[in-house]
Amino acid sequence: MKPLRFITLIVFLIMTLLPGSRGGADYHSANEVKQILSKVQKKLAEAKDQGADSFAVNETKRIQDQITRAEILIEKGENDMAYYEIRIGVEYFPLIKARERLLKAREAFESFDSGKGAGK
Amino acid sequence: MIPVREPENKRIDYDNMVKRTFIIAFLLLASFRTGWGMEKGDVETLIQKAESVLTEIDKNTGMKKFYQADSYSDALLHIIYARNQLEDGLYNSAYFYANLSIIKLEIASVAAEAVKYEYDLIVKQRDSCMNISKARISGDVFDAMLESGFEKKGDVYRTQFLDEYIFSKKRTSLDNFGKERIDRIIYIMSRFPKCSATIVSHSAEYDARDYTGRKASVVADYFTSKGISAVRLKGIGLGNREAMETNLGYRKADRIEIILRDITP
Repeated sequence: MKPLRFITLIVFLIMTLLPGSRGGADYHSANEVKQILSKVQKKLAEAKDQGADSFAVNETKRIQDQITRAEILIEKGENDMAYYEIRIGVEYFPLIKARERLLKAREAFESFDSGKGAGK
Repeated sequence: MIPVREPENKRIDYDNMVKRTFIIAFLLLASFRTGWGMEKGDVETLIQKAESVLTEIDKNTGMKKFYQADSYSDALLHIIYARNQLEDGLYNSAYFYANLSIIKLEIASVAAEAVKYEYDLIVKQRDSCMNISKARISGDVFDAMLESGFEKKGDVYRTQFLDEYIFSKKRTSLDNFGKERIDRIIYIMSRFPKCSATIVSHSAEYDARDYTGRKASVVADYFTSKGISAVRLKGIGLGNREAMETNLGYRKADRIEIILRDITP
């Protein structure tokens, strides 16, 4: 084997086998990630309609940030990383639910304290 | 035969080519590795952050009991995954799991705070109900209400009995245990002349033949036979429209619900 071919082969192997190397194919296709992305955008819009903007400002902003990051990564062809970013974004939805529950529980508790709910 | 020599300018210089290839390969690798993917240090910091949050939660023993097991254990698992991925050199995956664990811990903390508020509210409501009830109802009537399982909901007191515990097998009459239960309620009603009762009968299956209506009548008849005026009674057969709240969630069941109103002396 000629040295040039040998070196090319070695470089190729290093690039594909090295952990985290971009030489390996992505597990997730751009289409798959885009589909998840559109679902997340839809869900975010629904959450905002239900008032998440008022009681979970940080969470909605974080989801929006994750969407933006995922979009940029898809454009760069980094589908796996885009998938990870959007999946991180999805995890904020239960946090929005938890914030809503906390808000309601606190309101109920405080209204009882102020006498509105006494005896009910 | 004279060997043909390659011209000087066409001869391949392997040493130079090896050097060039190494340089190009290095630059390619460097550009790929710096332009994309997570750095080990960043991921390590994220995992440490998650671990420190977990330690804080564990230290706060006062709040720990309000943490729900699912989010907390999910977070714990994600931290372990992240550590494993980091050790295997899968930094992107480790970054993903480290982030998930942080979010899960945040969910667990917010949910725990909500549960604490809900718990405190229930304690206050219970104390308040007990005080109000004790002020209005005293002695043996109060005991009868407790034994009958009445709970105060809004302005009314409600209790319910499963059919199998109070009716005979054919559901056409009350059995001895059922009569004993209803007698307690009759006693309560006799002590509060303004009190009225609504008997709501439920079934587990679709009620096409007014089975629940007949069950309500059986109970109402027993009340009237014991001297309670029919004016103070109202029987309703609801069929299977309402489910019953149980420890295992909502389920439809054959039962009688009794609602008492105007428990005032």
